[in-house]
Amino acid sequence: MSSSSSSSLPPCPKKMITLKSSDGETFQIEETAALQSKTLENMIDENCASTPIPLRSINGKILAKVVEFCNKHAEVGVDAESLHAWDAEFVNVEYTTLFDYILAANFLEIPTLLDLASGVVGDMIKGKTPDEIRKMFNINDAFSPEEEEEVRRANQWAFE
Amino acid sequence: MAAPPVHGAAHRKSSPGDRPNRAGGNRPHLPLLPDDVIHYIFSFLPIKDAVRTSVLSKRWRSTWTTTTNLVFDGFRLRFRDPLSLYFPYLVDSVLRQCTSPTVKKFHLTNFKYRRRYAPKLNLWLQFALGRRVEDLRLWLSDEPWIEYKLPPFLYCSSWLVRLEVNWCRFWSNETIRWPCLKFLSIEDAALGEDMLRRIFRGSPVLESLKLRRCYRVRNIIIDSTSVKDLVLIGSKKSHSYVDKIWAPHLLSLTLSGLWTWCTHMFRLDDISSLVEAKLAFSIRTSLFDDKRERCDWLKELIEKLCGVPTITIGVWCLKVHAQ
Repeated sequence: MSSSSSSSLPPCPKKMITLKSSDGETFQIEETAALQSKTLENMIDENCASTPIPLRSINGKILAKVVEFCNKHAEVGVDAESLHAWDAEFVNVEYTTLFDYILAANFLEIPTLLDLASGVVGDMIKGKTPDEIRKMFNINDAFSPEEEEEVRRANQWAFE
Repeated sequence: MAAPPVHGAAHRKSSPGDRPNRAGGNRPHLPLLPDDVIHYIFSFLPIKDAVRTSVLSKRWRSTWTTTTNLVFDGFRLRFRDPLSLYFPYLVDSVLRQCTSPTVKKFHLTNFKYRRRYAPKLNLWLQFALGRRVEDLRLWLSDEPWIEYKLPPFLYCSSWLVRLEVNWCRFWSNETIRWPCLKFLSIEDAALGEDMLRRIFRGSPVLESLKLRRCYRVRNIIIDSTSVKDLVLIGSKKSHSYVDKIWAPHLLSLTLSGLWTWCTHMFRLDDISSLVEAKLAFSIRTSLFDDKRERCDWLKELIEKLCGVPTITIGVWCLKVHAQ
């Protein structure tokens, strides 16, 4: 999380805002990086960001990663290819962590992170049978066999 | 459109303690994600996978029908019953069920187009354009010389940002109006200079143009100041030659593909703003062609690029240049 990119700029103090996780950890993030989140942007616009912003649905472990993501994506001069590789590594995590990223990105409205993490889940679903997907994601609210047959029949081609 | 709005994160009732992230056998609970997030994840799926989500759970039975990405790929959709379940039928069926008021992406790829499908294709495009499609791809499979004549209403869309077509006929007297179009890719199509000029005039924010195996384009004249990127991919068909490229505002130019040597090989005219050039093409020659003529032509081409900061030269050009 080093930020050595702006050494040539005149020394103006960077505007920082503080985020507080559900388990009480605080994180400092530069305002420019925080602006990737629409939720934070709105708070900054409404001058609600001068005190630590409590994020009750995001724990410290996940918030640290989200801050890392925003910092990386706010870095200047990173070429698309290496950012792509960095992103791929970032979402190379346990499914549960991935879901936490999605929830955090949805709550904070960070489209880049939401797209990235949702895309990975989408890729995991692609080409799998409904049974495999149900098993993989703990889906228990299944139809009765008769009901399922009826739903399948509506779009038989998709199940062949 | 950006991420769907919030409210969902509170859905998770479990305490942090029961979600050990490192656990090998621990499976994530998809149903714990809020509906708008599930909808978002499903929208990344190709249509066949999206439709299959209808049987996953009662809650998601019709989630797929609100998808804003309709991606139909003729290769991936194969059926056992060729009489009743064929591609056009299937597209019709999906569009009938689709309830989303807007469609962001409409892709139709590897579609074996036949003339009798024209009315259907018109209807599908009408469906997509009527729902403010931003990203439209029409890749018909390359049945030689059966071209789909683009319907007049396609030339006027206030929402299109990306348009990719192949084996389509551009023919219209209507005014082109693509005020948001940024990326345009045209393959295997006859494009008169006049059509090209009208495209530029009607697309004030067009940034990137890709022409692949297009023919009848003698001169590529880009007077638009917004177009920064041109990719020109050649064809071995002898009648698809380009004479002159005149594009004083262009920043990046890529020439690739296989071209056939002829007396009118492309010349670079005014390309004074270029900062990047890629010469990745090769040229098919015959024994009777004059080697020296070819070398001179390439030399002239490279000399024309001498002030360009970044030039990438492919194998064929390197070989000929070395001779």
